[in-house]
Order: sequence, then C-alpha cells, then structure tokens
Amino acid sequence: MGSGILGVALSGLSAAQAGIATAEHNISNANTVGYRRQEVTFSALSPQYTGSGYFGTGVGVDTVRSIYSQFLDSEVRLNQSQLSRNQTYTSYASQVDSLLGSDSSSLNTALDSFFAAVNELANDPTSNAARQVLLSSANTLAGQANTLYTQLQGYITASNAEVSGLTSQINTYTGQIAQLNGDIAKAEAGGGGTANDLRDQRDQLIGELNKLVDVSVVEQSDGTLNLFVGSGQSLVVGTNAYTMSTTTDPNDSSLLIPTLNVGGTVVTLDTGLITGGQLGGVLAVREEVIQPAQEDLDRITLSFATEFNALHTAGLDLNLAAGGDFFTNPVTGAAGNSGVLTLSLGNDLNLQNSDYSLTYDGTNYTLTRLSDGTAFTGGLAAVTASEGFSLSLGTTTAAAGDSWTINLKGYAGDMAALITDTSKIAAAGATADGPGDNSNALALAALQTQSFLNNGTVTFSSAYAQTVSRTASLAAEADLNVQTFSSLTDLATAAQQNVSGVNLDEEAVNLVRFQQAYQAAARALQVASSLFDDLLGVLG
Amino acid sequence: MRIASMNFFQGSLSGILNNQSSMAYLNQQIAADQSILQPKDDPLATEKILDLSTRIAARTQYSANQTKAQIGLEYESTVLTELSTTLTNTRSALAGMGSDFDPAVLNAGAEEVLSQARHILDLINTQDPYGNYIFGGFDTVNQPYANPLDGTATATTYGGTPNPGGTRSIQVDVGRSIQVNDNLDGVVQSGVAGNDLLQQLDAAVAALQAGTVSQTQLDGWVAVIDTALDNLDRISQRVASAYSEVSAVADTTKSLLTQEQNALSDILKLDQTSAIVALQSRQTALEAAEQAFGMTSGLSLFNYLG
Repeated sequence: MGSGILGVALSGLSAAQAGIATAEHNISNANTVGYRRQEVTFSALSPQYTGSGYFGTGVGVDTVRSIYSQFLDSEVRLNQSQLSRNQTYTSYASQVDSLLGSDSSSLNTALDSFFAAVNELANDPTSNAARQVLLSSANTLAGQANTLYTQLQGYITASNAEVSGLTSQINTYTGQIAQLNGDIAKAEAGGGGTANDLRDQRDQLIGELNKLVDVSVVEQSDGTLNLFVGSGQSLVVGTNAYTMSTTTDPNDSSLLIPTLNVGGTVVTLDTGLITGGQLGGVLAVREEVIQPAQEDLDRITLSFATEFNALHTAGLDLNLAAGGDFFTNPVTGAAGNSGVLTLSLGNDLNLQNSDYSLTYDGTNYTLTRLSDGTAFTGGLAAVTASEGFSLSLGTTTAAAGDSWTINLKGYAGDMAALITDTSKIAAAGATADGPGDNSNALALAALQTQSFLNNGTVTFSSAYAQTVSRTASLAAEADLNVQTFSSLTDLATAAQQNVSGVNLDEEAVNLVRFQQAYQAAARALQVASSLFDDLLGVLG
Repeated sequence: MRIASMNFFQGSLSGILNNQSSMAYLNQQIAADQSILQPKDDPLATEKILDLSTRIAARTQYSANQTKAQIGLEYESTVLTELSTTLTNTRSALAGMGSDFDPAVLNAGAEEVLSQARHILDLINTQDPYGNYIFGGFDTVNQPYANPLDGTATATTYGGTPNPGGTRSIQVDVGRSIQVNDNLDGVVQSGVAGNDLLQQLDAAVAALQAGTVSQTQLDGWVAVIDTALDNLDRISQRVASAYSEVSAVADTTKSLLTQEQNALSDILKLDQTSAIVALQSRQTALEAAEQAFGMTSGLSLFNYLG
C-alpha cells in the first residue's frame, strides 16, 4: 500500500512533466511553418482491487498527438496551388498587357503616325520633306513591330528558364518527400504512435511542392504518401521519387515543356496535364497570352506589309520608275531563280505559325512546313491550299531548280522598311505622266481604313486593338483570380491555423496547469514520505 | 473560438498590406491623372479606347488634309480672280478700240494689251510657294503654258497633263477626296485652232502696233476672251463649291473630333475628387489596422505570470 502511494504520486509527476514538455515544445514551435500543435493524452491506470473496492493507481501518458483537420489541410493546399498558378500567370500577363497597351510601345501609335505621313505624301507628292517623314515613320513602324515581337520572345525565353528552374526545384522537393516517407515508415513501424514532427515536415514540403505544381496525395497503410501529377502520373511512390526534366516542344522548337521520367518511360506534361502551381501558370500564360500575341502581331504585320507592298509595287516613283517592295518581302527567292513569287494571304489569315521552303523540279512544287516537316507536292495552288496563303508567279515563269523560302513565323520581328531613297517612294499611279501625281499615295493612305483582317472585317488598328483587349481580359481575369484565391487561401490557412496553430495564452495556461499538477504530485509524494517517517518513528 | 497566435498578428498584417497596395494604386492614378493605367484595369474599355485613339489620329490627319486643301483652293481662287480681272481689262481695252482710231491710239492700246497678255501668261503659269506649277496637272515641275508673245503668232503649247487625268485630289475624310487643282486648257483654248487665247492676243498686239485693224478682227478677239471668261467662270465656280464642300466636311470633322476626344477623356479621365476621397478613406483604414496591431501585439498571458 505504501509503495502504492508513492507510485501514484510518481505517475502524477511524470504526467505533469510530459504536459510541461509538450507545452514547451508547442511554445518553441509557435512560429515554425507547418508545425501542428501537439497534445498529450492521459488516462487513468488500471485500478487495484481490494476487499473494499477498486483503488486508482495513478495516471499514464497514452500518446502525444498532433491536432489537425485533414479537410482544412487539403483546402489550404488546393487554394494555395491555384493562387501560385494565378500569381505566375498574372506576372507575365500583366507585363504583356502593359507592353502592348502603353502608348509608347503600341503598334497603333506607330500605325497612326505612319498613315499620317502617307497622307502628307498624298497632299504633297513632290515634297522631299514629306517623303523623308514617311521613310522615318516607316522605320519607326517596323522598329515598333520588331520591339514588340522581341520583347514577347523575351517572355518566352524567361518562361523556358522558369519551366526548367521549376522542374529542378520540384525534383528537390520530391526527393525530400520520398526520404521522409522512408523515415516515417521506419519510425512508425513498431506501432509506437505517429511521428508527428516528421509528418509535419513532410506535409509542409508537400505544401511547398503544391505551390510549384498541383499534386494529388494518397496515403498508404505504412504511413507513406504517394504523390501524383496530371492525370495520375506518379511523382513519388513510397521512397521513390521520379525525376522531372524538360524537352523541346515538338510543335514549336522555341518552347521548353516539362517531362516526367516514370521508371524509364518519359511522359510529356503539357497544359492539359499540369493545371496548377507556378508550372501550370507559366505553361498556361505562354499558351493563352504570349504566343497568341506573337501570332497576332505576325498576322497584322504580314497583312499590312503584303497589302502595302502590292500597292506600292504597282505605282511609280518620283522618276516615274516602277515602285519596289516598301517592306520586307516574306518570300525570298534563291539566287538564279527564274520565277518570282508574290505572296497573298488568305482571307481568314489562318496561318500555321511556321516558316516554309519551296522547290520546283520542273513539274511539281514541293512546299515544306518547317515547324513539323510536313511536305506538300503538286501544283502551286495545291501545295499552299491548307496553309492560309497563296503564291503567284505573275508574269514570270519558274524553272526546274528554282527554290524559295517563305518566312511567316516571326515576321513582326524581322519586318523592315526597305526604301532608303526618298525618290523611290511610289506616290504616282501606274499611268502617271508627272511627279505631281498622288493617286497611288491616296490609295496607300486609304489602306488605313480598309478591313483586311478577320475575314476582311477589321482594319489593322482594330485587329491590334482586339489583341490588346484580349490580353487585357486575360490579365484582368488572372488578377481577379489572384484576389479570390488569395483570400480563399488566407481563410483556409486561418481556419487551419485555428485548429493546428499554437496559441501562446493557451500554452501559458497549460504550463500553469501542469506546474500546479506537478506541485500537487510532489506534495503527495511528501505526504507519502512523511507517512513512512511517522511509521518509522513509532517503530524507533 | 480558438485562435492561433500567428493569426492574431496576421489579421492586422493583411489589412495593412491591402490598404497599402490600394493606396499605391490610387497614388499612381492621381499622379497620371488617368483612371486606367494599363489595359487590364478595364478590359471592356480597352478596345474602345484604342479605336477612339486611332479614329482621333486619323481625323486629326483629315483635318490637316482639309486645311491643306482649303489653302490650295484659296490660293487657286485668288489666282483665278486675278486672271478674270485681267481678262476683263483686256477685253475692255480691245472692245474700246475702233478700226477708225488714230494709229497712235492703237499703238497705245497695243502696249496695254501686251502688258495684260504678259500678266495672263504669268498667271496661268503660277507656282505655289514650293515652286510647283498649280495649273500643270501632275507635271508640277515644267512650265505648263508656253507662248513667247513675240508677235510671231505662235500657238500656246500646253506642257502639263491632258485634262481630266491631271487633276490632283486630297483625301478629306474616309473614302472622300476633293479635287484641289485644275488646268486652264478651257481658258487658254490651247490647241483650238484659231481660238488660242494667247496666240490671238499676240496677233492683236502685232496688228495694233502696225496701226491697222479691222472691226471684224476686234470682234473676233473679244469673242475669244468671252469664251475664256465663260470657261474661267466655270472653273471658279468648281473651286468655290469645292471650297465650301471642304469647309462643310471640316466642320463635321471638327465636331466629330471634339466628340471623340470627349468620349476618350470621359473613359480615361480620373475623377480626382473621388480618388482623393478614396485615398483618404484607405488611409483611415490603414491607420486603424496599424493601431489595432499596436493594441493587440502587446497582449499576452505571460505578462501576468509572475
């Protein structure tokens, strides 16, 4: 009975110590990201039976458990992944938006000035000043198109670097998660409770990984977690992490896209598979904003330059000689060609975003789409039929061995004003008999208000305005998504923290509570001890 | 409800950050005096803004074209009026002569007609301030009408482009051009055998100088000048109506330009008052959030544990 008294007091001391240690652990980790507060659970030890009934034998420490809600944890992860996606998306989209829309870099500003200069030429066809202004505004226009395209290409390059940086960061996280999977499985193997702190670390890493790419998590019976991306491609299985890498997009050599090596099988992860996290954001903004803007610029500048060249070459210059190409001709013939080809764009401008090579063997033409190597053989009209443009020989005749290159992709980046001599501007009509004829200049000026794009429904300026507008909508949508997911993430995090986070006041109360329990148990020990002393005194 | 200590601080922090970023944006708006700083601020208005800007740019150019056309037409009109006066004077000089006049009087008349004829030759070869012959059609470089006025009865030759191919137009609106020059073939009657204005005047001067002239000759010369005046009148009327057409178009252009500029300004212009009010209210909210942080950050049970 006596040892019983001491034992009960001792169990109280140990329990109070465990409570104090856990409160201290919580206090120490109050600011540790991903830490979940821990709690000791106690229960009364098995009672001892005597003739007068059951007597308690003290308290035992059952386990230390983390306090968490799986639902709230996954809410945080899901929202955080979408938040990261949209933050990345908007960081690019916002730059493209401001690039295309600012007055100083807008293509429309340059188009407006250019057509004003064409009007001045029409007003004063023999004025050297008017001709000079036209040449310099043509250079400005071409330069503006080049700058816009190059800048967009810069965003593509930045996105490639980001894709490749993200994949190696992902590999670091998945490696660590696989490692922790092993540690946790080992620690929990004996059935001695859960490895709370290791699990917290692993969940924290999964949270960080989710900011980079959206993963789904499946818990296994041994405490390990398996991670999957996309439509179920394994990223981490048990202690194995599969490596992500990058490869060149087979449809567009300027793009890097992520891949996943699942046990020797390399899977390409495109926008259809990766929808969240920073990686999802980069892939989406590239596909929805940057590339379409480049393609639009190509379409607008190609349409503008071919229409302008067609009129300009039909007119006569100051010396009444036939006008030449005013802007870069997308078609280049090889030296020694007999046939001279002129490009016309289809009404729908449904271009394939590629450059081409064309050869003639005396019977058939062979047109090769350089982006994917598709080749068409046959007559001149047949080979270009599906490509959104057509070619004509005019009055020339092609000879066997003639070859051409047709540069459509990136035309906005390559476009240049070719005329440098003011007298070579063809302001006069084809039948002019004096330099004062301004009929061709009037025709050129009228291009400003004619609709060539979108099946002949919009002018060059309106087409550009539509591009800016579309980019603006996507950027604004991403901004709005950032706000939404930011507050959703904040709410979910707050809710999750209210369950799992440490409250210092609560821990202060716990400390006091267990301190008093400890003092009481110590007092009980003292009482038991004095009982023994009294007994020994009686005997002595 | 249980609150994590971290949330206790975080709540004030997000309030502070949100208010700060709103204030930064309002500051930018106020500094730029624009409600839309980049297209994504109002995607719906973007296309409208860009289209309005392009329309304003084009209309401003049309307005410049109209001024150019008006100046050209005014210039031509002045020359035509002067030509009309000169032709009328010449006509009076010739009509005032009689076949029975003393040769000395006829000689004096010859001087008068010669000086008028020289003036006519100058006027039909008028150059604009840039040295372009305004009645030369497309050939603005070479003198359009040549006649030596040397008494040898040489026909007037026209060096310009034949009518009507040689008239220049200026675009004054979308799809609308105004003819801004004319040639004077009808006035000079060049190439019309026996009716060539300067050739006839040349002949008149020669006859008057010789002191012998018939009434039939005098009547013939007056008739040629009458034809010239009739034809000149038609050109003057065309110039006058072209001028009033340009003026009408210019009025429309100006009022549309004003409307479009107002429309653009309505979209872009920042309502300064409400922006300042918004800034003020954000500042109040920010100060409140900061004060809340100050008040709560010091709260801890540990302060009370001896």
